[in-house]
Amino acid sequence: MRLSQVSNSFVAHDAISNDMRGIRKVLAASIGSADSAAPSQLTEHHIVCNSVTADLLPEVLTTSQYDHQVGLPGDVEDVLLHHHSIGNGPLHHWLVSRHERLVLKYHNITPSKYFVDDAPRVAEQLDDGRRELTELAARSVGAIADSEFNRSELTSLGMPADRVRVVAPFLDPKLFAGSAPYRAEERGPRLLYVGQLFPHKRVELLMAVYAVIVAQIDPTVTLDIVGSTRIGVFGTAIRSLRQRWAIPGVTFHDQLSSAELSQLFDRASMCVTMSEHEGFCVPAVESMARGVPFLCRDLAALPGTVGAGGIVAPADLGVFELAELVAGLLADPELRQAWSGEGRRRAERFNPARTGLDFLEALGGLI
Amino acid sequence: MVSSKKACSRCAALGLSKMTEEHPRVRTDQLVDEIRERVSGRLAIGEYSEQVAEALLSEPGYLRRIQPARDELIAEFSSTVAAVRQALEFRPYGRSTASRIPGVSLARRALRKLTSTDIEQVYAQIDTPLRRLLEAVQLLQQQIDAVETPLVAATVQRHTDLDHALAELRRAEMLLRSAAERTADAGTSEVLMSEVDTE
Repeated sequence: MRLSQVSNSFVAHDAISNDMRGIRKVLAASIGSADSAAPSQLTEHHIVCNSVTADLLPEVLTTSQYDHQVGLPGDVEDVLLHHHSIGNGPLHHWLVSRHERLVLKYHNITPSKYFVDDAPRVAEQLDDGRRELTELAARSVGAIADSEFNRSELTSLGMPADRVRVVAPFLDPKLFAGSAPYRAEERGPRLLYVGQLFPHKRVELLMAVYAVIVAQIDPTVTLDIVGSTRIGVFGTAIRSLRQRWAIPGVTFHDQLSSAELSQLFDRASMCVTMSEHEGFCVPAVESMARGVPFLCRDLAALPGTVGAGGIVAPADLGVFELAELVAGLLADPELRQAWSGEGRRRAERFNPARTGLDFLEALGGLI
Repeated sequence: MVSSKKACSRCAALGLSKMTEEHPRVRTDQLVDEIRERVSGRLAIGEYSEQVAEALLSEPGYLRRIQPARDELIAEFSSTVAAVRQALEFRPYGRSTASRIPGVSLARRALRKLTSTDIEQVYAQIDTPLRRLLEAVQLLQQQIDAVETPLVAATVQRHTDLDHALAELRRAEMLLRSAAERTADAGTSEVLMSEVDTE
């Protein structure tokens, strides 16, 4: 049996590509394995996508190469594991033309409303993704969702509950290899945000919260914002808030190496997001795994990912209340220390070794 | 001490049915409860600096671009205004601050004249824009009447709703001007138009 992962793109650093690498590693170890958890008769594994950087080209097959190598229309015993998060017409048509069994790996689709103003083309792709998802859900033999939140979206499309399994995405194993100990008393009042600068991440709300903190509660607090954006106008607007609102102490970091990001985590008192839509939220696990208390709002998949390991603020809290909450936690090292421990315990749930077992079990139940 | 919260999975594994008071989640929830009480029970606009409030509410055109933030800030500000109103024992028909805002008094005078003219005739021409104008002024009046202190009145001038209301005034003026050109009673309408400041 041949199992191929399919996606829009495959790049060096993003959550879906990292998930694909984790799956590839697990499947590669399964080929020829007598392990009862491994898919039986797995003989080949590929990554199929048409958008890839030159340095990663040797690692993938394009859809044309796959057609040529495997043949048309494909063997019904083989499996295509499709990572879905946005629309892609040509890839969708290719997928529905193939005869292999289809399994969805659902990472969620950001609601297009967040992109209509600043990136209408992206909004269209997201809407396309929703339409494609409906068709793919009907054609697939099952799905693996990143979170319960994602699972509920798939079952609402009519997928039978027993055909949708929840398995967290694979994360970088280095995250779990140990990090600097979190000693709350020794950490300065430094807030950290990690994530892309997109409208649904609500970075402007985080900056408003921060503005209230430094103006009224503690002027020594700083905020590091780590993340890039593919929507230039939005990124520029967000960055300009620093001057427009005259808030000191905000530093934007575009491209950071892993070592540089680790340094920021090692100095941070708390990691904070005001995001209102996440299908999983990898930075939440990254923060918890490093023992840095993580605060989010009670929205989308966030409470499910954070579980008992982080601070989930009620979604109805306003700017001033959120500022008070963050400042209250910064001022209470004992409480932050307790959250650090809770976070590390929760993060173990997402250790790649465990994810590997969960993934194989889920896949085995679907195919 | 045991809280009223159901035990998390880890506490349950220790044989506990409820979280202890020392559990970080219980302590954080208590912090949230205290904050809710503290923030809702005071004049937030007074206790937080004018600088911050104005920074958050300034540049309405800019905030409009970031729609969710604007909605949230307006919601936050609206609750603040409500708190101010309650605390000052709001006098619904006290001296209005409307006259301090450029354009509003002129708009009101224009409206008074408008109601003294043959309004039915004007309505026939400008029903929709006039209603918009009236609604806009009414909204403006509600916003202004909701505050009495100069501090809040100054901030209200920056309120996006006010900005919206003034935009409606401008739009209404254009439509009125257009209608005035068509109406038989051009003289009356010309007088009206000349007194509507579109600031």
